Amino acid sequence: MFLYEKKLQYPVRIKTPNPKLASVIISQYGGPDGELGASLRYLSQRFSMPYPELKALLTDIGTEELGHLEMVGAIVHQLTRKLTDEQIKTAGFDTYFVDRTTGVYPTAASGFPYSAASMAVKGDVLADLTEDLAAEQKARVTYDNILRLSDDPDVNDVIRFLREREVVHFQRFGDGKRTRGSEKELLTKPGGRLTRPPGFVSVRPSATKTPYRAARSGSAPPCPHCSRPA
Amino acid sequence: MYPKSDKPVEDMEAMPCGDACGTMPSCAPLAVPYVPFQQMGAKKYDHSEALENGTLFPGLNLPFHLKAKAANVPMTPLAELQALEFVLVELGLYLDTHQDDAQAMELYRQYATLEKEGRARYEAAYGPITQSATAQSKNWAWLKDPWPWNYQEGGDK
Repeated sequence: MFLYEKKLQYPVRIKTPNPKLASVIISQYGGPDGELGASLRYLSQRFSMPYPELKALLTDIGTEELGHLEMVGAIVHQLTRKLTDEQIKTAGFDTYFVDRTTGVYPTAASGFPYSAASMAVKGDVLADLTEDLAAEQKARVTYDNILRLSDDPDVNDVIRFLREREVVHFQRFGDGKRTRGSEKELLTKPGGRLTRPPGFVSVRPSATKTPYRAARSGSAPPCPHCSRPA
Repeated sequence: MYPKSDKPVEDMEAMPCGDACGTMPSCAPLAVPYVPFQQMGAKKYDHSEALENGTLFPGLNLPFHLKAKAANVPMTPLAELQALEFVLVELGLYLDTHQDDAQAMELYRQYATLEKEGRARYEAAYGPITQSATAQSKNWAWLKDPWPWNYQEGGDK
């Protein structure tokens, strides 16, 4: 279960409202590589993950992403406080304002509402972890782009923090994949409720008359790192 | 080319690679993605530097080149607590994949104690952070402003 902590993970204190900037940062709230999708992806992938360290990693990173969702929401909220009549007409923010006023709504900056189609849960260790590695990179690039667009130091401090978390999470998903021996288990042991291997196994060259047959027969031991036939 | 270590978990004292590098197996199955495994014994920031940089590990601190300067977070009582808890979050993720790193486990214990003390101090002064901690208040102080997303004139406590 989840219990709420009445504090943010990192301080958010934006002195200067800036609705135009809010209209791009909202993408990390509900956009294709945003924090909502990140937390749903990891917290959903947990259920079919067969190994304890990966269950833990998805739970812990998915939970942290919920905290990041709250931080991005806080940035958008603070950037759009006490707006003047002139400010709500700011190009870029006016189209958001007409639909949501200054409510914080999970949407991409381009206007598309949050869609679970932007993330995946495949129920396979290798496929899901590879998805997660890509997801962290895509979120990192979105934060790069926000830093390109923003000159507000109060905003940039928070965005830099969130961006660095993507780098660390990428590393952890990579480490997580490596904790299973040298992929021996990932590749050859049953995953979750499947009765067959979750990944794939190498296919030996056909035992018929291929020219490889003679060279391969009898001699080389299996690769010690992956137990695939040498 | 790559360090020989195929068993980073056992090689904790060795640190065969630099602090910003990790180990790779000398051979590895084809068609599987690889990220270098972070070595045990990597350098660590203190808690306030960790919060400012977004990571506990200098070797993983890879900022965006156009705006790379770390934040300078004023260490208010709240930020102090956030920094202590951040170390627990960061070390927790690390230990998920490096459960045999006894040194990191010991650091986790130390920071858990510091965080518990810091939290008690903060809640005594500024009110409950969790609903259950409201039991220590005279009244239902859970409702008390500010909520975390509100802008605080004059700065956070």
